Amino acid sequence: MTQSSTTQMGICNNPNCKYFQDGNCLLGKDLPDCEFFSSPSQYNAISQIIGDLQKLKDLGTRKEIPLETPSSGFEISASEAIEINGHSQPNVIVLAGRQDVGKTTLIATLATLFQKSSSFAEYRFCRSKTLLGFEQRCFLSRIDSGNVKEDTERTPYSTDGYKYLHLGVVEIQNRSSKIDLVIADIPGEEFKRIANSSEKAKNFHLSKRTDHFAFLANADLLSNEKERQNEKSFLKTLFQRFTDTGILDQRIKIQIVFTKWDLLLSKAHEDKHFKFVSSVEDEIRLAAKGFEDKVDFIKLASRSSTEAGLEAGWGFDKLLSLWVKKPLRTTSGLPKHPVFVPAYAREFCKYEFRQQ
Amino acid sequence: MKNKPSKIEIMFVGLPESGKSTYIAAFWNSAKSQNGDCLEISKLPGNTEYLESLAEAWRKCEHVTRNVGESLENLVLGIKEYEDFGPFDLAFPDLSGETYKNVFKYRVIESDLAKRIQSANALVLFIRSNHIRKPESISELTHFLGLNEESSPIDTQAFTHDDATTQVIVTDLLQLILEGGSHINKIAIIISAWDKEISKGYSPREFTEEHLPLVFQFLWSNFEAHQYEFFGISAQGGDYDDEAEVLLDKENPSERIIAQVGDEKNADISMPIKWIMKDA
Repeated sequence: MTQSSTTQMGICNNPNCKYFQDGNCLLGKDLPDCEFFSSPSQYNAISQIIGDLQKLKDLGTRKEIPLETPSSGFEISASEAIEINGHSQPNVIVLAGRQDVGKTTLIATLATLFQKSSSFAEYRFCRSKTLLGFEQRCFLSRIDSGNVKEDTERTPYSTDGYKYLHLGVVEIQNRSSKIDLVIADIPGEEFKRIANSSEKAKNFHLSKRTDHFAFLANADLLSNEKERQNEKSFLKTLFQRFTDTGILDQRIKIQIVFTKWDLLLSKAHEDKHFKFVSSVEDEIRLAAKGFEDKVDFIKLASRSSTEAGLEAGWGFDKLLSLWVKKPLRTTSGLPKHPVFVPAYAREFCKYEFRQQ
Repeated sequence: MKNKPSKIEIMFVGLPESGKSTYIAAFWNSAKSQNGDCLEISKLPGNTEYLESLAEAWRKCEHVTRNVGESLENLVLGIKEYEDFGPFDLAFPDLSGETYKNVFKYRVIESDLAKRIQSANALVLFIRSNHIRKPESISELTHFLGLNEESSPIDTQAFTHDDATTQVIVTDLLQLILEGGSHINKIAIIISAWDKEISKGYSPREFTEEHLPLVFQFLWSNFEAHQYEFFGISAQGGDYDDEAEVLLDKENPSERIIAQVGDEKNADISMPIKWIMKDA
């Protein structure tokens, strides 16, 4: 296939930059990460804010440039997440927990549920910039992978920043209600570091833009006599770290998610395990004093289990119905439609993704 | 007569072996023959070599093979007046399935293709009914076969684009094509090889909802009801390996064609195009 220009157009708002002549960004950055770069949607938004289309046209040059489409289809970056601009800002979700607690499996299961049926939990699939990312995370649980036991690839640690997955849904009873979910897929090692360090917890800037913070605990371990105290301890410590730094403020909705609930149910002495999980819930409520009404407790089974009598995706309807709720954030200090604003223009707003 | 456009441009989209070329072959034969209910050609296009090569194989109940090449074949057929539609030009670039597969895989739309998309009014998406890869989980199979955790893996593969389910590939392709300047406001989904499904009693819409739910949801969420429709089409009329003799026996080859929308069934291969013309 011969190389040729694509439909992507961009504008560089730095009058000194010659990217469109020689392909070199003055700041040495890759588009669209450069702060002077505007995509067509941003260009229009800027035009509206500044109200002087002619002034913008005189700045920089405009040309079709050989860009790939913004998303690889696997994950999106923070700047690409900002591009998602439906009826309102996307709901940003953080899944917090250590390795193997089931963060990635949760993400994969959620996407699969929309492939299994023409609706799920009163919602229908609308769009996604990361369909391939969901597929990749599902793959090891599928027959085509060659596995005989369902598995999920571990999220690799990356120095390039967090990766996000995007899922847009529509409420069946209210078609004008379109909600975009941006889910951060963060490796468990990161949360292990955060649990061990208040400094790291404080510097978790993503929380400033988070709408839903889901703390995951492994119900399989919580129902294992040898492992349950460590699992509880980690959950409580992580929760406390974020609480202490003031990050879990009134704006953020919190879920405590017990994953692998099917494995708990398939064990003997069910009542004993229920009691222990209940004690974990009580301790979390205590730690959330002052905002305990913002905390929901969810039990999930991503995979089907004949022994437990649960179908794949059990509990996900409740989780989704929480995540699609509009964020509590007020508009003070936060833009309704976040945009990049060129340096020469007055900065009407800062979008806190950029503070990562 | 209502003011109707003099040209309709349709994007024919589909992965390799989804049935696009067979459809074109059958459409050309039916439209040229001017018998039956199909739309009719008003005049022959200048160069019919490509169309005739496709139709020739189709008439003999041989598999239609598209010439693989990188150049776009922009087919423009003059069509006679139909109902309240005056004579018009029907344009549809015949792009190989590999072109669309590459859009999905490499996330790049060449400027020529982009221009075609931007000038198109409608899109016809082909999905072959018996080539649908589904999200089948291991737990579903192990339960069925009685396998257990101690069984050795056959050969664990790394994920590639080709491993994505059909509904993911098709939905993602639609997203890539429809974003960025498209004026497409009508989408016809053609479930091809419909001869394999027609006896099961599904309508094409029900088939899509059952077997390709992500595609169904994407259309439902992003378009009004009148903007998309589902068709079951068998341009071959049957399996050439098993039924060629029966198919060749029909004096009018157009009678082999199976076309269905909703519960309506006939042999009119131009059914999806007529639907696109409605309210144009």
